[in-house]
Amino acid sequence: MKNIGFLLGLFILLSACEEEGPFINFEEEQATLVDTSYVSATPIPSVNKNVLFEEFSGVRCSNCPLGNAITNGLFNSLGDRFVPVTVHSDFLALPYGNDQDLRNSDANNLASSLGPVGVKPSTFVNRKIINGSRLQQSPGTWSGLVNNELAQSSFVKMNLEIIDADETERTVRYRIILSYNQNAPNHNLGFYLTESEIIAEQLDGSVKISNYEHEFVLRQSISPLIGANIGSDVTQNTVIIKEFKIDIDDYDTNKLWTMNHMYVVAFVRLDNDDIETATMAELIP
Amino acid sequence: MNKLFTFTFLLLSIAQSIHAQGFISGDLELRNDYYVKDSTIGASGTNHYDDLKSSADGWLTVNYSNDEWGFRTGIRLDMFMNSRFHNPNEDAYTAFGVGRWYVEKDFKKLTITGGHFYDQFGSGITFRAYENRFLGIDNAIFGVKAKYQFNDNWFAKGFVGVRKNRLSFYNPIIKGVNVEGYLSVGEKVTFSPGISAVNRTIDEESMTTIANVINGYELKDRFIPKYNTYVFSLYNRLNIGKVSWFIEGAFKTSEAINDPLNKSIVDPLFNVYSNKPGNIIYTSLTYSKKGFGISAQFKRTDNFQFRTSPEDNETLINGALNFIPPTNRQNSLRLPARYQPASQEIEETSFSLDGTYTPKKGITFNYSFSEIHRNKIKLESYAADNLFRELYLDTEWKVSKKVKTLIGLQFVQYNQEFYEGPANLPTDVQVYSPFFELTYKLDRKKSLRFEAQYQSAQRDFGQWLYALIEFNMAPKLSISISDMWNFKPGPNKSSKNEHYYSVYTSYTEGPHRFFISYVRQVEGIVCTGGICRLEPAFNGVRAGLNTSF
Repeated sequence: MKNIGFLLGLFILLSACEEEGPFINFEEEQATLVDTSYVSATPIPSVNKNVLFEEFSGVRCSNCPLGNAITNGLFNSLGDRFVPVTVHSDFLALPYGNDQDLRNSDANNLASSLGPVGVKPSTFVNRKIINGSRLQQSPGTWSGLVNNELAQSSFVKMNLEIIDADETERTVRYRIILSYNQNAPNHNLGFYLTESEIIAEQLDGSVKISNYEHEFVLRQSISPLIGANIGSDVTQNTVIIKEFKIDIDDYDTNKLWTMNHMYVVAFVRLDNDDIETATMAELIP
Repeated sequence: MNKLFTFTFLLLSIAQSIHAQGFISGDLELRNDYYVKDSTIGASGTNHYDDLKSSADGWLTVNYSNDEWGFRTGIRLDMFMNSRFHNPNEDAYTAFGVGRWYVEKDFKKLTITGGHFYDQFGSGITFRAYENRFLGIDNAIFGVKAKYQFNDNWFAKGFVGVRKNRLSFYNPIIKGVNVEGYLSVGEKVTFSPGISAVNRTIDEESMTTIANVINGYELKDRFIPKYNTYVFSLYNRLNIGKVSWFIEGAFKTSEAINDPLNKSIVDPLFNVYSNKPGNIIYTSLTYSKKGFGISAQFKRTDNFQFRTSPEDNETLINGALNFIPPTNRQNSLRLPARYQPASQEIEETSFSLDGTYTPKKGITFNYSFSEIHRNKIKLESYAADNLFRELYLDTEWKVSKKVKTLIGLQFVQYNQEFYEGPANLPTDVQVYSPFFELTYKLDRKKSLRFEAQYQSAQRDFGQWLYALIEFNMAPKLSISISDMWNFKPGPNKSSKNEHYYSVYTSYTEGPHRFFISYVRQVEGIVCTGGICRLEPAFNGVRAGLNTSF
């Protein structure tokens, strides 16, 4: 009995021991280079929403090339107002052979938190709940849902500009301008990095296409996944300007990403998880 | 694979050679699913329906025990072929190998086990390693366990190992000790006290992932996660005559927990880590005498998430190291079982009152009332904040030697958004489910059973009717046919008034039982003992075999 008492005592003693723990950075990583706002002297005109189109895909998903084709078609026809992001969460996305793994923890977090995503291809359309579901599973309906969303007005217009992109240093400096035409509810501002023209084998029906080109693949969320809070007290005609600088290698430690094929995606997210509007810009225009 | 067959062959050879002193036993369970695409109910869009068309799962166990030597050993081969058994929402899973092996030897008062083992401390709040194939759970620990029996009334046990993850392992190390005893004071008063402590140490790879996630948070939300977590519990069962009282209290040290309910951190919908200690208290009080029984339970859980790791892939039924007992009634009838709450790890205050009364032979009344709340209960919004409430009444009436009936009513109030997510699901689905069951014995071996159930869940699927008729010819044959008809779908459902048919038959010959069924099954939460998972819709044929030797 003494031995058991000793063991239990040891457990209690150990639980009081301090650990050093892993490295947690308590410094600001991506210091905002510019963070300013002003009230416009002239009224800011109303604007319609853009669509953040988060399509869930996977290299082992036999029907996903069909979804990709629809997404690419929408991008070609709608241009800047359509912001595609292809999300390779775990489901049906295990890479073939030595191909690049298009999956990442941000993709899985997005799928698990707003999903579950048990069907691919499927998509979020500004993460709106439509017919009781946030996940839209029928590619035939996507175009109509996007057009419905594009017809809605937004309280904010987003302008995203690349100020400087250095391919040697692999750094990017970018600016976001938020122009509010109405008083805004509490909202967050988030950023993704995406990449196109990634070659990786893809199942298409029952055939594997070895040189399939994957477009707009979510590489990394460079803000907290839900964005950083802008606040609940932004009033009509306010203009907010923020500038950031990132080092791509901070996220891409294996140096696999090609800056020439990459985009920064910016979006405004509301407390109910809906996306108000979004925009994107090529790193190297 | 060669090693596996060599091991199996050796085990069987040894077992044969020492058969005279020992005893060999085992069992086989085989299950095959054949998928037929049916997009009207959502049974489509996955590779099982599009391409694979079938899956098979199997478990073959062989055990050998020799009481003279105080020696036991066993091996179980697990087979998952294009399986969706562990997680019906994921890609097909294929693997084959040793799912369990163990050797166990008694040395007088000491028993040592090596390999995979199942066990639990107290009610399982600090540690439970168990298997529940119905839910795809196999929480065995792979390691070494020792149990020392001090005398007839007191024992101590301890273990160290890793938690099984399908046919491999989670990397974190688990250690635990437990002491339990029995004391009697006079003839009618007994105590069964116990104490337990468990430690989990996270591996470097998992910790790196966790740290990366935390480094992605806003500065105000970052913290240093702990490698080691410790849980402790004290418990006791007190019996005084016909009264039995069990109580267990447990405490858990701070660690990074996956805390989707913590709105102060980031957002309730995203998997977020917060650094919190936890505690839980669980108690039950029962009184029973001939013809009358009553039982009350209470539980309060506060941040008592104890898993191999808080990472995304170790949520729901994955990576659990303990078991938090549910307090609500566990229903088995088809429609009354549709709305079941999963035991919560982050916060839950629940209580229940169950009773049974038999005024005369052949008639029994059963009732149950249970409620589940968050921990901060506000009296002014008591009803609105309720997560789950169930009122259940039934009467079993043995009309004659040939006729037995069950009739009853269940009312459930269910916060679907809380239990199933995502946001904007209804928070107060009100469910009324009257039910009736009749069993008619045609003769000593043959019987007919009929079930009829209705359910109204206006804010969810709407109105259901369910009927089943079953013919049993004991002990060999069972045939049933049923239909669950969503005859008036709710306004939030895009489905039409679908029929979910099922035809089932099983044939038993000695220890061998064969079954085949056609099933068209609606999606829904399936729970056993407070552990739940979302089963997607299914359409197809299921066939299988269970046997033991």
